[in-house]
Amino acid sequence: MNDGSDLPFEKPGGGVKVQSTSPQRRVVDGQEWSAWEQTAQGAVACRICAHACSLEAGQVGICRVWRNREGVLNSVLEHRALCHHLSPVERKPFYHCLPGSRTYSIGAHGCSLRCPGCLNEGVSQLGTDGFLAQSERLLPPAAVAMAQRAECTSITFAYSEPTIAIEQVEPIALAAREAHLPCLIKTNGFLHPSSLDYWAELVDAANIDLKAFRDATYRRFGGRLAPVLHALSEFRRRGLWIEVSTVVIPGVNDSDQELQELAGHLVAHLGPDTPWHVMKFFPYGGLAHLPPTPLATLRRARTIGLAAGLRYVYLGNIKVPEEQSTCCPTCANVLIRRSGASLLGCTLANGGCPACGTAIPGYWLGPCVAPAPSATTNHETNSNV
Amino acid sequence: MSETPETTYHLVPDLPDLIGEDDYLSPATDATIRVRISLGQDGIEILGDSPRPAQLEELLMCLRPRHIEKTPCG
Repeated sequence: MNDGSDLPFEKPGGGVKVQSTSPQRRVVDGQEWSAWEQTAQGAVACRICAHACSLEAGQVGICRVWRNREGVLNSVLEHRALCHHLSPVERKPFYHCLPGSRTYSIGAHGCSLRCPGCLNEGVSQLGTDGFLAQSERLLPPAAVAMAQRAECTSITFAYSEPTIAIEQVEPIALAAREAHLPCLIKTNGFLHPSSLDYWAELVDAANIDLKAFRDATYRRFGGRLAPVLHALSEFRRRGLWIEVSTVVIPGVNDSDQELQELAGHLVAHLGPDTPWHVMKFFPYGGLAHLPPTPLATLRRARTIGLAAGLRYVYLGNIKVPEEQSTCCPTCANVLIRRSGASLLGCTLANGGCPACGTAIPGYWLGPCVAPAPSATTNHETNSNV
Repeated sequence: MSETPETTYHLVPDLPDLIGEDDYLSPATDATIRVRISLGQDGIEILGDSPRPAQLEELLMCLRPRHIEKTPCG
């Protein structure tokens, strides 16, 4: 079995190998990929997510974003964004990717899943009419200019499911790459298998939710486990930098056995250097009756991950610096100190430990920026009236 | 009585934390809703923070606010 540890992680650096030849077709590294195919009598087969909806004329996909309009798959997303914010890259969370940097985060709407406790349901599950009413135009040159003006070192597509939003993400990503701005995505990984080359070429790094290790749980969330595991392995094989997040939900995915199987899978198929973020759950929506994840549960999950062989397991949606810092796996030297999304200090030297020289896998691209602790926040559940 | 206008939502990048590092170490924090009430230029402002976002939003909605600001997850 290939654990992924011998696979290279290539920093793209050069030109992106994606060309859009039409709204339907792209050429990815010389190979054509179609986001949909016309089938019999005006129907289309969508190839954007793993639902692979077959849509008759006028029908809308499970995502509620794509529709068959007279034999052509069409969305309302082009050049529109529901929100676009500056935030620390650690908040996505990326802990081994451009640490201490600011990223320009853009969210459209729509999601291929229906997770009952989604904190972002006001973004991800907003209907088309609501999206059109609340979103604003965001043209690619303006997005890149805003990111550069704010001294961002990357653009992240987050908040909703970016792989549903090809028409929004692609032109901005291509413009960003021309401007030498890396592009990151926060995704549920529920992708059509034919689209994996496309995404691996278009973006530089992905944080992928692995929401559970039980297909029954995924089906409760409106998806399936197998396509997510496939996307994880294939992205890793294609050299995309990957971090994995799991929101640990009491009574849903927090058993020792499930966490052991999940962590074991990451070690076996993505490699022991894959960062795993075990995130605190905040009760909301259809899961509002459950308690928040106790700290003891998060610590148990981290212990399980480390015992399985993962070298970098972090607690998330919480502030516990000792369990959010990156240590050298050889000499235990603390290399990057964090509290939630705040970077407290970084001694990483050329992507390695300055004490023993051990290389730390990640998407580093230059020295870390270690600003003084500030009012930067990472708690995601506060509201203001 | 005049009609209350519908509450509008705004997604904002940041709101101050009312729950800090030390609080996370206490299990009691999971049953906590913290609020800070202040008088700003636009009227009374209430900042809330809680590991129970559903209950926090329910509480804030009882006040029939003109608008609510919220930080999206991620």
